[in-house]
Amino acid sequence: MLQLEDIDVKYGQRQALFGLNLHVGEGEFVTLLGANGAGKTTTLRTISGLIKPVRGRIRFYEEDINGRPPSAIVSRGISHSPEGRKVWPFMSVEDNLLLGGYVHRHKRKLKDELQRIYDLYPRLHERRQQHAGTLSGGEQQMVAIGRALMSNPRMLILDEPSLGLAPIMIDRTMDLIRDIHRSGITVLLVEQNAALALEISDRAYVIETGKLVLEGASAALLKSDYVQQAYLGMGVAVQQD
Amino acid sequence: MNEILQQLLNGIIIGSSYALLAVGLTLIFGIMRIVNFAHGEFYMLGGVFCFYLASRLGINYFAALGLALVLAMALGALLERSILRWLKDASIDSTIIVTIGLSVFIQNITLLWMGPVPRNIPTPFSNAPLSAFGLTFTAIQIFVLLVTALVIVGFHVLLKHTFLGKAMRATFTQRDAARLVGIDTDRIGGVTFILGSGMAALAGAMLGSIYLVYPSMGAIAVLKAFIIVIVGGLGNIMGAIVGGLILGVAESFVSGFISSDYSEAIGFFIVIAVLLFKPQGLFGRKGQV
Amino acid sequence: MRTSKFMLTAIVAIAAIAAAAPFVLPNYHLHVLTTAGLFILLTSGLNLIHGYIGRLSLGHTAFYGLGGYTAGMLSAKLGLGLLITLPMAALVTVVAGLALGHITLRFRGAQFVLVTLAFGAILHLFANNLVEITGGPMGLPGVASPLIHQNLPGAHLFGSRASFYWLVLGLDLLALYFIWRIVGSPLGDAMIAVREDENLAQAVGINEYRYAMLAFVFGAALAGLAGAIYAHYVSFVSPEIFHFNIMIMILVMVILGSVGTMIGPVIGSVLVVLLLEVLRLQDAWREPLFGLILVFATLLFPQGLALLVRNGFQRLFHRQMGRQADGTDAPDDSGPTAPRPSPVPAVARAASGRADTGDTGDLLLSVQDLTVRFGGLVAVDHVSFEVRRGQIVSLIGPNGAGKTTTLNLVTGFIPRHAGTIRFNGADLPRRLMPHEVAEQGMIRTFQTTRGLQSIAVGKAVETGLHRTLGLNWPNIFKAITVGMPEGGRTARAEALLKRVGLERDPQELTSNLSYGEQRLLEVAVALAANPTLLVLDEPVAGMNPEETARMMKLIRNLRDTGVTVLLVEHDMKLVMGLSDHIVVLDHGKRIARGCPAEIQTHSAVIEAYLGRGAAHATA
Repeated sequence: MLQLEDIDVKYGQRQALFGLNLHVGEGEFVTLLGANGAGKTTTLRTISGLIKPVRGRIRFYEEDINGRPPSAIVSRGISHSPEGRKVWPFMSVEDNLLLGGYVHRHKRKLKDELQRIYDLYPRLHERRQQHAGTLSGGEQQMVAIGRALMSNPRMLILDEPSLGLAPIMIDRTMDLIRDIHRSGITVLLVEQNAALALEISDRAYVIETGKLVLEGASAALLKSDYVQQAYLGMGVAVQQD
Repeated sequence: MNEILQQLLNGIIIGSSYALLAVGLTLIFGIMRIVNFAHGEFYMLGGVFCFYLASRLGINYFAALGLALVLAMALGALLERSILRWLKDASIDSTIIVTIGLSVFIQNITLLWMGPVPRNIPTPFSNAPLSAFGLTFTAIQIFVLLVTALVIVGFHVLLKHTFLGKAMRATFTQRDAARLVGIDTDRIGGVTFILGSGMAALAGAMLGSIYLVYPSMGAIAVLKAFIIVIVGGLGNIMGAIVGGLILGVAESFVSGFISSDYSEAIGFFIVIAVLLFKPQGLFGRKGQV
Repeated sequence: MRTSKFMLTAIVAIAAIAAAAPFVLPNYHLHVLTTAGLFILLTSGLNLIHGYIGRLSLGHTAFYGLGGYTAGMLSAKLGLGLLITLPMAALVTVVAGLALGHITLRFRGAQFVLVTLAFGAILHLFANNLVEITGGPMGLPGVASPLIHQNLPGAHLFGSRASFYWLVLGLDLLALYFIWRIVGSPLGDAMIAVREDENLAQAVGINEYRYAMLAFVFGAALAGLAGAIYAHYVSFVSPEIFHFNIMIMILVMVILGSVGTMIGPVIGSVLVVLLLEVLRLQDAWREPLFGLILVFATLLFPQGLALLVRNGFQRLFHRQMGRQADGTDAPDDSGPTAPRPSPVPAVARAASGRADTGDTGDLLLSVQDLTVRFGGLVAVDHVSFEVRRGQIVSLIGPNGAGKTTTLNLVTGFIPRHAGTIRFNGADLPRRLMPHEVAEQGMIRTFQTTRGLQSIAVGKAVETGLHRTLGLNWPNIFKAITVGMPEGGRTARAEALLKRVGLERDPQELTSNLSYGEQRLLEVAVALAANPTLLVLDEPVAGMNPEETARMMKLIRNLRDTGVTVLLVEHDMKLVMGLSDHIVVLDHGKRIARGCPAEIQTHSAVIEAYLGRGAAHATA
């Protein structure tokens, strides 16, 4: 469904991604792990069109999407909940959600979409007139996810949804994401918190300083200490399952 | 006491146009990140176009007003498409110089065209002083106050209740997220520039209808606009509105109670004072709309 | 900018030709040149503050006008001649510059622009309105001009247009001499560093405020002199001297000529004045044409004319040099094929071989209960750790742990709310500026920084030497007037380049370096400041494995030669392979410390990085 081939990304002279090869199959739940600064967010931003790769191709359902603007990517069905949530703090929850459906704003069904999100997340309905910035971290994450769902995506990208959340909220958020996956949406999740991500995903990649170093089934990786080794510099496992 | 209220009224009338001018500049800076020194020229052109249409071509005042706005916004669109697009990745220096150059060009072409003598815009309102609640004013002043208030309120409605307005606010406060939901931030920038220039033009036409229009009126206007924006807080629309009113009232008070010669200076003193005591502006926080 | 014999002869020749002008040119042409000469004084001054320090001041005409009115009033009201009014004008503008600089230099960006603009406008207004003092809008006539008042003391000295021309020419040459001294000395390097990367400048001990003030006041004095001469030249001074149009003119000349070069203001002034003369033929269209030229010249050559020419020459000459250097280029980073890294040598697995006894050397840095809050969030919460002399200490932790914030607190870039920092035997007070921390011997690098763009590699390293040069005010004065001896700076810079293993020609531009090389350069710059403690912020972020290995080797080498190192990193192989001691942060708190082997198996650390449940995976 989504295929990254030999992707190189540079920030000016600094190369952030080196020949990245990644794929996500339809209906899969894939997670991308790695330490901070490894290139996870860069990968997601490249998929979403915020960054243009200097080399390589990105294919979504056999269509080339590298270099297309973010609006085109959203229209084609990939939605992105960014790192740090980035809700609009002085706009209401409802406005935040409505803007999530921006690409469909001319269609009448936007109201229906909004209702659908409210049905899924009653909490948001309760707080719909509140400024998004006044909500707790977990609620803001809900807003960010709801916003991403408003465009009725086929694939949802999430960038570190657990960041800065209290443990209870992390559990709730992960349940939320699991439910989204069960409803048929393909999920690509980026997380620093490896155990969490491995518990709910099907397959995982580990990225380190811009290169993929590990790939495998999440269940297997959870049991082994490959990931720990990769994270804590105790030697790098090159094995692929 | 009456004197004070009178000057307050005068100040609010002028200040409301200042507010429009400053809101336009804030929008352009906040959304496009451009320091636009040519902003004052749209202010001037609003007044000059209105004068030309109403006086030279004899068109009905209200139609002339509307047409002047349209012309100014068209010019804004043209400029944005051409020159400002090239400035997208330029340094602040370059942006300042280019907009200064545009300002010099527009100002002097206008000077060539209509000469330096200040002109009067013919309005259908009589100059007879009216009276109410112990205050005196003229019909044109009330008209100006109504129009600017209406536009400010209308703009507020646009921002709060239309998709375009929400998209603008989103781009203003959190650009990345805006792009991620599919907002074309370049196009929003274009619309913003047109709107902002239109506001400046309206402000110029309004104040020009009360006072006079002349080619160099844009130069002092852009200075005041920058002062207001800094006093209100960079990137703060409410701050621009309040700041504009404050400046208008301050100028009015100084003019009425001290001397009209120094009324221009009060703005500079205010901005220096604000920068010394509250450098982030009276409304401090960035992005509040 | 080392002036070769060729340049020197060329300058003398040009000066001689210029001096001969009054003998060959008609009066009007001389007048044009004199005008250009006055602008050279104005633009050179503005160029110092805008081009070298990087602050856009739109209030320069304030000093021009102050000089003009000082001379004008002294002359018209007291009948004093040039010999007195010129120095007085300079004095007044120096004092005004000190005062204005003190008020305005605390602002940055648009605020600085506006506040300087405001002062210029205020002076304009006062000149217009204080009629009894300044003569109001009508101006102050009767300023003693030796051209008119022949019986003035000293009139015979300046009794002709030629003498005014020579006066202006002489002052231009003098001003350019002083500026040449400044720019060619470490003072100029410091100013450029402030402009290019203020954080970096502070981090090696450069006091930004001092150099900004120096540039500001010097520029003010030059403008004041220009104003005074102008008043005498036209025998008249009016509020128009403060007009914003003149400010625009000066700014345009500086930018068109090329910001931040010595010759730029000269080229800009002469060209624009000549341009305006040419356009004089279409008198009415002169101004709008001027505006159009501004727009297109800036869009087409934003770097200005002097740099355009210089870069053109350099591209011609360096094309040959570039070929030779290719052999030592960093390995190609444009697409390795399979994402398979080389297996990590066994060395990386265990600690660095040096047992963490904790008592290696005495205490160099001691941080206790360091705390800072941003809004409601406690970003760093009572963090304590120690760095001993001769150690490599690493600060690690997951995303958002507060590592870089801690670094910023320790090095003075953000003020702390609580906690003590003791460095090299002395307590660091809370309100210490970053450059003062650097003065104590704590030198840091940055993870994301522009760096010193487009200057020679050797020069960049020399900038780091600043702290070791003893630049107090007497020495600064000496540097401006008679120059500073070279003192082996170039040699030291080259030695430092070798030490970090940067195999590049010192004349090579920093922008031509690969990413890995640029980061090596940053370390060289920091080393130049002779650190007691070297603080590295993510030194290998974004580097490929070869570059990382090189940096690792360098850091180890530095430690072995006596430099203590504190670093923040995410690259675990490097951290585990290098560190004598590791401190782990999570959510702003310290959760562990110890030697690498201890940290790798520490349950709190594993949990912080990998999440709950992962701790069970440890053997």
